[in-house]
This record gives sequence, C-alpha cells and structure tokens, in this order.
Amino acid sequence: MRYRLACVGLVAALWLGGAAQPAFAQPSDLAATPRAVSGSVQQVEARRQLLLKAMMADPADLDVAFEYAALSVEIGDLEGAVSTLERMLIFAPGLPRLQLELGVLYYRLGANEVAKSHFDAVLAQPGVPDDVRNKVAVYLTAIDKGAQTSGFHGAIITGARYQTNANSAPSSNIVNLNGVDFLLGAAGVSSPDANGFVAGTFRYIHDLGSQGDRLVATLQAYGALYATQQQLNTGVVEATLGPDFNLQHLGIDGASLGFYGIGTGVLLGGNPYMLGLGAGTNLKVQLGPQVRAGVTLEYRHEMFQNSAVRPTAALRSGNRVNAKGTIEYALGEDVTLFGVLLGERRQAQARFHSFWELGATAGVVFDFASPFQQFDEDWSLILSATYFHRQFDAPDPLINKVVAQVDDDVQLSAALSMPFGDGLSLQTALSYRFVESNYGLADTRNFSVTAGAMKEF
Amino acid sequence: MLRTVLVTALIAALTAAPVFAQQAGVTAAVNQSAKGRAPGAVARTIVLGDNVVVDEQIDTNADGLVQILLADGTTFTVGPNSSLTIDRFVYDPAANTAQVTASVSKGVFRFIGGRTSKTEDGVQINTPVGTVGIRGAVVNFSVGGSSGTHFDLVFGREVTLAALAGGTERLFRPGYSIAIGQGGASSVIRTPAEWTSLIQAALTAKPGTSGGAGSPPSNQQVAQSGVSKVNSEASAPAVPTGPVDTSAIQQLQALTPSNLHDVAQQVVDSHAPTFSGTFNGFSAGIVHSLTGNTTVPQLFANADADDVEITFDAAGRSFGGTISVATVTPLSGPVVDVSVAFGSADPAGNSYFVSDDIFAATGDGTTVVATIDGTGPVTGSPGAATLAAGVIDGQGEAFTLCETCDYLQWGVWVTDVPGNGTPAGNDLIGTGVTGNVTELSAFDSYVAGLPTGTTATYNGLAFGFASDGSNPGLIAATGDMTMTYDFGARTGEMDITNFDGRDFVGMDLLGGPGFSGNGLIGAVNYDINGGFVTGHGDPAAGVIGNFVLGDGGWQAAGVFAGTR
Repeated sequence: MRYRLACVGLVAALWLGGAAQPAFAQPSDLAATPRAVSGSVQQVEARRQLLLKAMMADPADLDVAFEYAALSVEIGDLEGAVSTLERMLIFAPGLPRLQLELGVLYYRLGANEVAKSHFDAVLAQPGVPDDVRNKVAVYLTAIDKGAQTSGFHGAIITGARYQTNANSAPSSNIVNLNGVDFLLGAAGVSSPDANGFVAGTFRYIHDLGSQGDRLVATLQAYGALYATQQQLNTGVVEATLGPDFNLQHLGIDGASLGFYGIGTGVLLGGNPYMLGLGAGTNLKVQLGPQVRAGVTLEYRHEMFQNSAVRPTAALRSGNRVNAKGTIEYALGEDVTLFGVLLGERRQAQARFHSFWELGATAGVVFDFASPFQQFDEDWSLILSATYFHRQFDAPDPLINKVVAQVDDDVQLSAALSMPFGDGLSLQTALSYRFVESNYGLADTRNFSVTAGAMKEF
Repeated sequence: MLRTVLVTALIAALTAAPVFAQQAGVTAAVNQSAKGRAPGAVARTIVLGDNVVVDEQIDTNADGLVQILLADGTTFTVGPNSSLTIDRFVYDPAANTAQVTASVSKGVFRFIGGRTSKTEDGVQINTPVGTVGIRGAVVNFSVGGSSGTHFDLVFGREVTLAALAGGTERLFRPGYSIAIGQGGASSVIRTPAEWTSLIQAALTAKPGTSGGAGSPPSNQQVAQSGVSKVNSEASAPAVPTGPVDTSAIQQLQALTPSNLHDVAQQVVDSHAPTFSGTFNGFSAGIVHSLTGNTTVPQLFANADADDVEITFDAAGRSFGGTISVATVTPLSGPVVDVSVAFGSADPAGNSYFVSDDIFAATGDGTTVVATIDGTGPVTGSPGAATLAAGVIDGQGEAFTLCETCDYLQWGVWVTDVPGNGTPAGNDLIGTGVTGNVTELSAFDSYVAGLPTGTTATYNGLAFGFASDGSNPGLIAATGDMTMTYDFGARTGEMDITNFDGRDFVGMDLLGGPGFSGNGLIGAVNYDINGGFVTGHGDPAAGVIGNFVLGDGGWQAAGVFAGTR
C-alpha cells in the first residue's frame, strides 16, 4: 500500500504543476528530519507537515500520530491534536489515558460537555490508575462549577490596613491661606491609623440564551472601621445592572458591549455622605491572542449630604463623567503588561470643587509558581504606577482667592496574591501616594500596608 | 535509462492524473462495516488507509465508524448509519489554503477543521435542510439522527446555515446549535446536554473494535508519549471563580477612602463653616503698649450691642465687620475711641472663615478711626487689624463656649493703632462676642406677665485679658460665669469666678434685654454691659456681654457668654 501511495504522491506533484511538496510524504523523509519538539514555530510547523503526510501514508503509525498530536498541542492547534487522539481512541476504545488527554483538550477548547463525557467515561472504567482518576476528578469539579451559564460569583476579603496618613491631611501643620500662614490643629494634620475592613465584590450573570448576551448585576461593598479616627469609618456600596451584548452578532469577534445603570451609597463617619445614580457603557475587545482592550464611559449624578462633621459636603454635589481605556498585553504565559488611560470631569455645586482630571496607569503582572508545592495555582505579583493631573475650575476663596488648585497625584503600588486552593488566598499590598498641590491643604503623602484573607466563589 | 524513467513517469502522470484529480483523503480509522462507492464504480468495503476520492459516497451500517483524514489535517468522523460524500477538495500547501465541499444525507458526524476551516468560505457541507458553512470550528452534525437534525458548534468561530426552507442562521458561540424543527424551520438554541451525549456515544467505538489498527495504543504508550507532557501534565483547570475582571486587591484599593479622593479631601476641610448672618454684640480689651510703657493700661469696651457688628458668610467663606470701643477706665490720659473695620467690611481686608470655630480677618488700618490721646480722630496709617478666634482650631477648641450655641461667636482681636507719637506704638488687644441680640419688643413679649421672682440661671465662660499694671504683664485669662436673672423685675446678679485666680461674686445688673451694672466688689470696680441673645427661637436662650474690672493696680477686661 505504501508503494501505491508513493506513486500517487509523485503523480500529484506533477499534476499540481510542481507544487512545493508532494501531498503524501515518504516515511523516509520523516526519518531524515529530526524531531522538533520545543523548536521554533517554523520548525515545529514544518515537522508537523511532514508528520501529517506520514499519517496519511500510514494512519496506524502510533509514533507518528503521538508526535503529531504533541506538536499540535505545542503550537496551539488543539483541534489537530483532538482529531488525532480521537482516531487513536477508535483504535483503542475506552483507553483511560487517551480519554484523559482528549478530555483535557476539549476542556482547554472550552467544550466542557464533550470534555465531561470523556472524563465520565474514564471514571466508569475499572482499574483506572489513581493519578488519572485524581486528575479527572479535578477537571470534573471545575466543569461542574463552570457549567452554569448563569450564576453568582464573587470574592470576599477581610483584613487590616495601616496608613501613615489615614486622614489624607497635609504633613505640615502650617498652611498658607491667602498669603497668611496658619497653624493647623491636631485634627487637620496627617496622622497614622489602622483599620479593619471587609470588602466584597459580587457578580450575578443571567445568560439571555442568545449566544453570549447576558444580564449582569454587580455589587461592590466595602466597610472599614478605624482604630482612632472614627470620622473615617467608611461604608461604600456600588451596584450596577444592565445587559452585555456579544458583538459577534455584528460579526465582530471577541468583543462585547455593555450598558448599565449605577447606584452608589457612601457612609462616612457614621453619617450618610453620598448618594449617586448614573449610567455606564463598556466595550471589551480581544484584539488577538495576547491583547485585550476595553473602554468604559460612566456618568454619575452625585448628591453629597451635609452632616455635623462635614457641614459643607453638599457643595460637592453635581455631575461626574469619567472615561477609561485599558489595554492588557500578555508578554508570555507568566507576564502581562497593562496600561490604563483615565479622564474625569466633575462639575460640583461649588466651582472650586469642580475639576478636570487626566491620568494614566502602567503596570505588570507576574505569575509564578507557589513556593508551596501542594498548591497548583500560581501566585501573582502586580506592580503599578499611576499619575493624575487635576485642574480645578475656580479658586477656593478660603485658600487662594486668585489661583485655582492644581494637583499632581502619583500612586505606586505592589500587590501580592497568594492562592492556597479552594478559592482561598492571602492578599497583601503596599502603596505609596503623594500629591503635589499648590494648595497646601491638598499636599499629602500616604504610605499604606494592607493584608487580608480572601475567599473567591 | 534516464530517458526510460522520464517517459515512464510522464506516462504515469498522464494516465494517473484524472484519477488523482478526485483524490480527497484517506480513511484513518475504520470499524466495519463501512462502504465506499466511487463514481461509476461498485460499492466496496473500505479499510484503514484506503484512499477516499472526490464524489465517493461513504456509508456506514449500525456498527460502522470511519474517520476520514484530508491532506490539510481536516477530519470527518462518520458515525453509524451515516452517509457522506466529499464533493470537492482543493489544497494548496504553498498558499496554506484549502477548500472542501461535502454532502451528508443522513447520520452523525464530527467535523474538525484543518486548513480548510481557516480559509474564508473554505468549508461547505450540503445537507437535506440546507448548506452549512464552517469557519475555524469543531462541529457536530446530526442529520435525521435519534435527536433529529441539528448542527452543534462545539468549538470555534462560526457555523452558518443557508436553509432550503429560506433564511439563514448563524452560530458564533460554542455550546449553541442550529436546530431544525417541523417543516424545516430552523432556530438557534443552546445545545441540550443530551444531544452532546447522543453524538458522543455514536462517535465512540465499541469495545472490542480496533478501527482497523493492528496494534492499538496502550495506556503506557499514551503516558510515555509527548502528548501528556504538553497537555494533561502541563495544564490545570482554571480556578472557576467566574468573570471577576480585576484582582480583588485592586478592587479593594479602589474602594478605600484614600482613593475616593473626594472623601479624603472632605476630611481635611471637614470643619467648613456653616455660620451665616449678621450679629451684634460686645467687646472689651486693654491697651497694650509696644514700647514698655508702664503706666496703668487703659481698659476699653462698648456699651451698646450695635457697636459691634460682624457678618458671617459661610458660602463665601468670608466674614467681617466693625468693632467700636472706647475707654472705660481710667479716663485720664489718652483716651481710646476707636472703630476697627476688618475682613469683608474692609475693602483692603482679608478674612479666613475656615470653620465655625476657626476664623480670622485682617484690615489694613486705613479705616481705623482712633483717638488714643483725646485730641481728635486720626485716620490711621496702614497697620494690621486682626480678629482671630484662635489659631485655626487650637485656641478655638480651648475656649468653646458651648457645643450647642450655634447662635454665638466669639474671638480675640488686636489692632496696631497709630498714635500721635505720645506715647508711640500701642496695640489694642480685645475680645469680642456676638450673637443674635434679642430685640426689645421680643423680650417684652417674652417677659410680659411674668411676676417678680421668675428667675433663670445662665452658666458660661468669661474670657479676657488681665494686667497687674506692669508691662508686659498682660495675660489672657478665663473664668466661669454664672448669671441669675429675674425676668419679672428685670434685674440680675453675676458671678465671675476663677478669673486670673480671683472671684467676683454678686455683681448687680439692671435692665433687659440689654443690661448693665457697675459698682464695687470689695476693692474692685466692675462695669458690665450685656444683653440677651436669641437661639433656637428662644429670646432668652443666652446672654453675652463685656466686663471691666480694676482696683487701680490689677485690671482686666473681657467678654462673657452663657446659656440657660
């Protein structure tokens, strides 16, 4: 049979006008070409083409088939590996390790139902090696959890934070008001404090059954109690609700467009501080296997409430529009770069609280193996730097009757996420923020350390 | 010899070409029974490795299972009781493009695209209900199978159906199917789990079969193959935490007060003022010599609440006013008769209304009308007139009158009044207190009909400056103030205690709502001017006023305020 195929191959070459390579390769060609596992993409692809021809020449050659499947996985052609292993499963029906590999391949493709059928078949057989059985169990658990197209997900974190300047006050106790130096009282000077906090981020997704369109509800909540400065005790809740459309409806791959309403409430020092209502839209686009981008535009009407300790908070009431563009670039499996451009306009009741803000964030995420071998999940280190420039609309007559406030705001942070399985992780962060302002009251420095335990579900 | 080979090859090429033009692929696995019927040929049983030619119809029986492998890597896995024909296959390895057209009339299939499905319009599958187009996808087909007719997108980019019954359908989301209902009507639905199970079962080889392979793979071979190393051993299931976009720590940081910068800044100016309105009141103070003059300092005060008027504008964060005072004692020598404007009442002044307890103002002195030597008014040269209620909230907190007295304000002031050279350089250091001074008519209504003996007691503070006659022997002093008032008789009695270590008990007062009193307590002369202030609708909520005390050596002047 091989002889017949070889002849046909030669004829094919002639008939196709001397096309670059014969359709079906000689096994001898294959032997003459070294294995190219972990070689360059071009080398692997060239080797794969030879292997494909060899498979056509002898589909029962297991060595060729395994090598073809392995190289296909390496190069990211999981379908090529699937079709090869499915053929081998016809040769050896129910072979557990083969079905394990097929199950993993389908899982990686996102075809969880097919993956599950392979995994179930593995477990249904007697005498399956323990390592195979254990691996299958992990995947089945993941599939079960991910099977719901609609569902509730979230994370709760609780911990403590120490800040050198918890009240975001100026570090100097002398401030200049309209050319005269004043001495700030103790309450007005930066002071350190620690807080205990609980924060949660929750998302409920209802699949609309129209190929990726979803109704998304989110809730973010944060509560912190301070050790000494009770006026900083904070409660924040923000909820959004709205549809998210898969833009493949319009022929745009890997993109979604969402619209949502926003409701926000803030308690500060035990008093109602701010209520906000608004709307937003976001566009998320997968620009390639390594690049993800997003644009968000949000509007809020914010109503600040006066209270005994913050008697003029209402002067901040008004409208707020912000725009954010993000881009993520996966430099490799373990390194992701990200950048964010931010713009915000606040129009407050008092013009000296109204401002334009422009900023940018640049950062990098490093994923690395957990130092504890019993945990599979990678740890992540996130480094980021953010810069904002704020220009206020009008002078604050208290501080400077002539010149409006201008801030340069820099925030540096490092966060380490340490998963310990079952959705549990330790989260730590260091951050330093300094604001350079022509208004002494806004000239602040703050260094903070945060540590918490998180449960994701 | 060479010529013979060339001729042989040429003949082979010419004669074989029409046959190869129909070449599509090979059968890569075959469970019997499966038959192939090439055009114009009789049906044959196909076996592993057979060529599949264009237009050859592949049929399987109830046990049949075939995988057809095309030269570009595309595979069709054909299940039992199925019928498939490769109508056309073109593959250009150089251009890396491929196109395939196939027809299925019945049965169950899985299509896994190679180069074909990466090529635009590369795959067309003709079915009894319409033409299915595939782009980069793994697709399950059931045509008249046990679960009916449907096309399921298992993975990949796009599946379309141009339905014979009219209309088109499009799948772009894995896990969805084009389902054909009664009368050929098509719809897109989420793939039911039982469809996946049925197709998976149909495409799974039965135990005991081998797909035609002589030596099937073993578990050991799989384990030792490179596949496990790059697949099951190299990956783990993603943590199924759902689509939470950013890390929890980032979200946490976004929610902390220091990043809600309006929250944080609000903390800084949390004392912002709310106190607004025009208020009258009382002031008293002491002439402080800048040159070390050791003569007995003069004490000054005002008698009428209208002499002191201050306007607070919380929204504008400004305040200002005028304080007019005159010498009370001793009346010999230079006499103070001064009207000091400051803050917003002085065009050249400034004010700092930081909070209800923290305020300060300046004036440039040009509006100061002062006589310090009794020779007549002098328009002062520029000098600072300052009224300050403490330095921000330091002293302000120390001298808080009462937390609920939002109708009272008080503070200290100093002005550098230019003299006429004799003596040169004096400061007036004064205290002031203002409030919503009660009108006579309101007070009359309030006390009307009250019998003598209807009394109330007011408690508060006294604040002023004291001097022992030396210079710089001037000190700021505070004390306690208690005033008992008989609304029926419109008389009262005031005690100032613990003021610079002294007690003044039983100072008589007369009048209302403005009241005054003077006399002797022991060896000390007292002179008091005051009035009731309205707060929270009560015309007798509080009392304010000034006092001067002196025994010829020790002297003091200041203001008091108290609430009932």
